[in-house]
Amino acid sequence: MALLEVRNLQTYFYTYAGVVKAVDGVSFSVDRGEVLGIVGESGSGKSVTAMSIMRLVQQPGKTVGGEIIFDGIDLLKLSDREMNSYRGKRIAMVFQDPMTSLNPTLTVGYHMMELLSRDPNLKTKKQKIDRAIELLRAVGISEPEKRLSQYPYQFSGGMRQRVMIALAIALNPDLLIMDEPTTALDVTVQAQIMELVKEIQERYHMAVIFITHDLGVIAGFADRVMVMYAGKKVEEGDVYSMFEKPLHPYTEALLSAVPKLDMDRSQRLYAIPGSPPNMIAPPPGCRFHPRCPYAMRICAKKMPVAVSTDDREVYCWKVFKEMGVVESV
Amino acid sequence: MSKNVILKIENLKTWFPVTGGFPKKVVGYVKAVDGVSFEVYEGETLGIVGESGCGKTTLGRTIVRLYKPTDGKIWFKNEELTHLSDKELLPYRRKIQMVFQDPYASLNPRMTVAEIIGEALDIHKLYKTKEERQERIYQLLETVGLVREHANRFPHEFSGGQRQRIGIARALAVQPELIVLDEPISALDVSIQAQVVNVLIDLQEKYGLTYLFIAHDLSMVRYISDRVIVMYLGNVVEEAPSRELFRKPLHPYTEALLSAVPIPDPKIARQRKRIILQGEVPSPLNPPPGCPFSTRCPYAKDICFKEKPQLKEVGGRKVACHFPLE
Repeated sequence: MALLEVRNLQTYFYTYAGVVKAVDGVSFSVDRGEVLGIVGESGSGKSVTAMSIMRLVQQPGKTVGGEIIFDGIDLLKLSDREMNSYRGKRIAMVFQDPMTSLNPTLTVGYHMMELLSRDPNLKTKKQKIDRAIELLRAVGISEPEKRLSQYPYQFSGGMRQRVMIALAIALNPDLLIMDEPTTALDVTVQAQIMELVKEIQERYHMAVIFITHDLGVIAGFADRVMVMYAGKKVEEGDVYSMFEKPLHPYTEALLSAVPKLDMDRSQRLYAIPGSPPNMIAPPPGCRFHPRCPYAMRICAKKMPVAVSTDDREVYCWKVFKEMGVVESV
Repeated sequence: MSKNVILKIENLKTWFPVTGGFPKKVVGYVKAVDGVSFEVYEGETLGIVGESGCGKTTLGRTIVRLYKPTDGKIWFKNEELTHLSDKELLPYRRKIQMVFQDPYASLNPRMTVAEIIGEALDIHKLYKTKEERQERIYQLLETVGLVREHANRFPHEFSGGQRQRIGIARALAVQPELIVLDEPISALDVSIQAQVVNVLIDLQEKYGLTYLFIAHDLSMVRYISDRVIVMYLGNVVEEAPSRELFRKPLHPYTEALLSAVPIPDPKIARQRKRIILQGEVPSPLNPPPGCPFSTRCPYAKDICFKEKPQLKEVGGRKVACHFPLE
């Protein structure tokens, strides 16, 4: 059984202008020890998906439907208190912005001790401090003894993200959700952090959901990829086959919008025409059809059904027509 | 491509004073750009890459004289711009334009698109009649892929990609020869980045523009640039034709930087050897005494910590390293 199974998740935001269906019927699963990458542009619903799993969606947002089965239990049915016992301990999250996700008025040590006080194996203060030092060392922070008494502003962006990772793995969670953990960082620091995450993931055999808009980062790290567009899943599959032969026109367009290593200016980049839809009134049918070069009449009318092959799941009428394989409607 | 030098930078330094104490006095300098020299040829795209804090934006802003250089010279064609007054600079401001990084901050929210673009035309008095001005604005909007109807709208009504197009139209309004593009696509989504890059390439071909393309996205820089300059801590560490630089970097920093770039291909991404640099960029307030990269360089020897290497020519390229890679 999968560690996490998300079924038909719907998280809506009730704004004055109307209802924004940020995540609109998304289903996926993550196995133990697996890395699932979620790719999409801003507004595609990838962060809201992560926040929904953690049950951290705030007003005016609300998860209005679906199930989030974690280790056999539907997280959406838990009380707030029960959910709290999952956060950090079973499921941990690393946020995008390392500058704002630590409290600037508290020392790094305070952040760590607060979390470690939830670990029943650590009884004395000495044990907790030792564990905090061990964790900081594990994420590559030098002189951890000294660093514990420092404040977040005394850490650089990369170092703060390391602290966030140390906090996230402190209670040995089964699932780690990382929401664009390296977006705010420089490439050389990004490489350091990715190396660290990979090492930790392998050492603790953690399941990881990795959210990013950078296809390059996904290619180097994920086992499976899910592509989102306008609150919907459009394609999911094995990382190798997906990058080799994307099936959904949006995935294909995303991959051809970034320059390949052997490309020069004589070959133009493929620019997806138009811009992502207004989520208050998304287009009917397939949400990508107004920008899709292959759009057919049916695309504007009916939401595509899932087309599944052994290693792929695609929501596209064109693929449906070509493959003619239907498993679920 | 012609080899006419359009812009020449000589030993340019832009330092920002740091004040402290009481009474307030200067306690040090942030050496954002610390002795940079290069030439830009007419009609080419010169890419400037480096990590945050390497001085690439400051360099761009100094070239358009938004900052006053501390030392060094800026030549545009045969004219030295370094010490011209604002009034004397005006004709050159028309020749050198800039597109800024953040399309949300670089357009005045209280002005309509027509006012934003028209302002440039007003300053340089580039029209005779009101109708001509209006027509010119429409033309510019169409050139960058917007429509006439957009002229009377305000910036908040546009998406990021469209705003960046407005920024490009504003730069184009005065018919510049050189445009400094400071991370013009960093704030945009992947699908929109390609749109803007294609507009830039089209415009360059149409008007024979020269671009200074500042970015940290190396794959895009490789794609768009003819030549590339790599900066580290206010210094140029390597300069080479784009293809050669990416095929065979000579400076250890360039090598590490290139190996850190994520490649959107799982097979290549997992096979290649990556050089993970230790530590982070030192503070430009207190740069290391020798080579600026010595503190993180995997190949550093004694001399690297003592003596700063100069940018010297190696087989038609330039590198500032005591021991360039073979």
